[in-house]
Amino acid sequence: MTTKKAKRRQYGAFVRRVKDFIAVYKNSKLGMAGAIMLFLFIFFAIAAPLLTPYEPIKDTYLADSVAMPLWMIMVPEYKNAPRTTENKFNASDWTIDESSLNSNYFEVMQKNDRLIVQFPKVIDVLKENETHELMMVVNFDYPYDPPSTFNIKFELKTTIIGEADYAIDLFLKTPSGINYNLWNIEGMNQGNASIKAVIDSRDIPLKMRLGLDPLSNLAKTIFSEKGEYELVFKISSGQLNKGDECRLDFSKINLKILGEVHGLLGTDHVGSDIFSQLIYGTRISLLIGILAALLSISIGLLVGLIAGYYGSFVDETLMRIVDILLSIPGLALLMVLVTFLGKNIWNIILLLGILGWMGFARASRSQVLSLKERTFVEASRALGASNKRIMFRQILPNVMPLVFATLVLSIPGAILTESALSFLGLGDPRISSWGRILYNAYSFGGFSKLAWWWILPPGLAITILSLSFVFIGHALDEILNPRLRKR
Amino acid sequence: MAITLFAVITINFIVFNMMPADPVSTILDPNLPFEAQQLLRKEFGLDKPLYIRYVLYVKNLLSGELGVSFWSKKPVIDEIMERLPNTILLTGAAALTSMFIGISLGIFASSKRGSKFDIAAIGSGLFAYGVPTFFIGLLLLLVFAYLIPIFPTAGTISRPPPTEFFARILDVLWHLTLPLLTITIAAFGGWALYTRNLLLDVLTEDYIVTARAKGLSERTVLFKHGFRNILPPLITIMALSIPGIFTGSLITEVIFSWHGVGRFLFEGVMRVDYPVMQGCFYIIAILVLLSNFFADILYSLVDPRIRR
Repeated sequence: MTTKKAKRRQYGAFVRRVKDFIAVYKNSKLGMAGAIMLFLFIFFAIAAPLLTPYEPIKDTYLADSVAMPLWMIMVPEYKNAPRTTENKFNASDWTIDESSLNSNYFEVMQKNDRLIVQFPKVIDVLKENETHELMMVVNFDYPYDPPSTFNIKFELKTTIIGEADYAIDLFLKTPSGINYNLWNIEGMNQGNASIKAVIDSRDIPLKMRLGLDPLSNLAKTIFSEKGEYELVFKISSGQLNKGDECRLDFSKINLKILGEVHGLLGTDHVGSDIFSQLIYGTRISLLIGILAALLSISIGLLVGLIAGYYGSFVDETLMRIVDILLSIPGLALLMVLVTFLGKNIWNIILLLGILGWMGFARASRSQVLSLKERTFVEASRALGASNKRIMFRQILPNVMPLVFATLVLSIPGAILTESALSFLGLGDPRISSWGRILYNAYSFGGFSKLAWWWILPPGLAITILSLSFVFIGHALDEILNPRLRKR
Repeated sequence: MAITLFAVITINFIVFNMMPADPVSTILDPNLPFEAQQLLRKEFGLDKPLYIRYVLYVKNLLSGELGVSFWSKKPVIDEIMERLPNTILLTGAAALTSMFIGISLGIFASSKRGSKFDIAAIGSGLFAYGVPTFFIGLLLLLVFAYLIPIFPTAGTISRPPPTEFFARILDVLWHLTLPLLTITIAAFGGWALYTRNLLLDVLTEDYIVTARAKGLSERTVLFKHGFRNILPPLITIMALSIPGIFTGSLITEVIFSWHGVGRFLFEGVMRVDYPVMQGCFYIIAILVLLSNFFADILYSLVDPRIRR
């Protein structure tokens, strides 16, 4: 009964203390600013999948490489900058050029999304050296400035019986009527075959075949006009013998013009969304910062407690180790160790924790040194308490204020070191962290293209997140350690 | 210092001996006949017990025998010596400028508490806490080398280097500007804040009151009585910040392709060139130790109590 009551009283006291603490904390402007910024980042980290539809690393070529942010179109110069346009042409989208259709010869069918062309329909129309042609046309509109890249992808299944002789050409016709023969095939193979056609505007043999300079930009040449473009399939059949048959089965045709503006913050060198990398990067920085700081504070606290409490030889040895580790350039050692142990987020957290405890060990040791001379420690020793009990039950709770403030203040250090490692290309390659975005920008042409939207946001994010922890730590320090308060 | 040196060598030894596989099997063609592998092992002294290898290792490192780079096939010590002056130039210059600017700002801030100087000192101190050095470097690179190309994007000296002596010096300074600015901007805030807080503490002491009561000018009080007395703790902080300065210059060297030891370490890491990694880490650690040693000497100079 009494213990229950005591517990409730204790609980009440705790709540009151927390309330008091919050009331005092609210007075610190810097602390509140830090807390608000931190909550914002935590929200980003949790709500990342809701804030952005893209996977930060896996989704590539959402737009062209190093695309500008979409809102840059408000600048008159970029008003008509190419947007990513993806056209998927189904079987029903195609129109048959009636003038070319020899209805006796070709049979065009639709089966689900697929377009099937079969010929000859009637065998006995065959004549010597006679050829037949079928034209299929689809229209699409392109209203923007010339893009740098486009690609066309489709799949074609052929079934040939006998020695069916056919050829297929794919043309792209510009509004002013220039025809580009982008792809062609002449099939003689018997039986079933499946062809995966990929036409890429950066393909040099294709440019050569079209008679263009290999260094020229095909997409810019073709899409230099605004208006209605035509995609034309020309199927021509040569001489067929009796019993020969040819069946062409076209899949959906996918035409993708890669835009040069995309999303909130554009794209990186492989066309991945930078905004989603930024949002997902919040998770990594928070995770690494908090876990590494927790680890290093725990080690530092343990070392500080033991060194301060036992003193003499133990103290001397431990503090000597601290001195040595403090005089080693941390980043250099980290670089070497990460290379050996593997670029892995857990290795990085572990190493950051193991290499970052020395400062706090010193601070807590000096605190313990003064605490252990206090009368309440003497009293519990007189009562026969064990060393362990005195350390963890009497001294530890009194070091806690220092622990909280230092914990928060050592998070930015871990965040900055991790981002430095990632910036050097030594971060976890499977994870999008802020340092890695900067590494990509630095290594893959973000600077020469003056892609400030690629460089500024991750750097500012690192800075603001670190500063929010600094502000909170500062405020905590002033509240929890009043003796250290500024005069 | 000697103990720390041995500790550094020992850490090096442990790190480079806990490699996933032993050096011979990682470096050499695994198809080499077993006998040849054994021969090589013997040649490299890898057949000897660990403690003998440790003694040999210590001997080698102390005598500057750092092995041969896998990549360039040149002795690592030669390559490092070629780069060392550049690193010392950058790090030394950066340390001096950041301390000078930071400490001056700190002194002015403490003499006019609550003024713009004071706010600037506190602000730059907090800023230094939160902004990564490499981001400052990247911003300077973006603005002053790419957007407004008045400074070079990379390198230590133009290729080919100017032949005339003065032109050469100017060229190096031109290349030095951005890296130096980077480290200075990143570091001066910390100094300003330390100096300010230390001085504010000292300025409440009785002897300052006495000095003011004597009618000494504020300037004399501030520099002769105030600043003089914060020198010992300031130098302690300087000694503690030395590894940080080298870390900052390492990453700055990488950003600006500065031909120094830090960038060499980075290249070694990228090429998994063990002798280079080991040598660079060792040399950087020695530079830190030497700087600490100088800080100790400086400490004894400014603190008369331990002069004898």
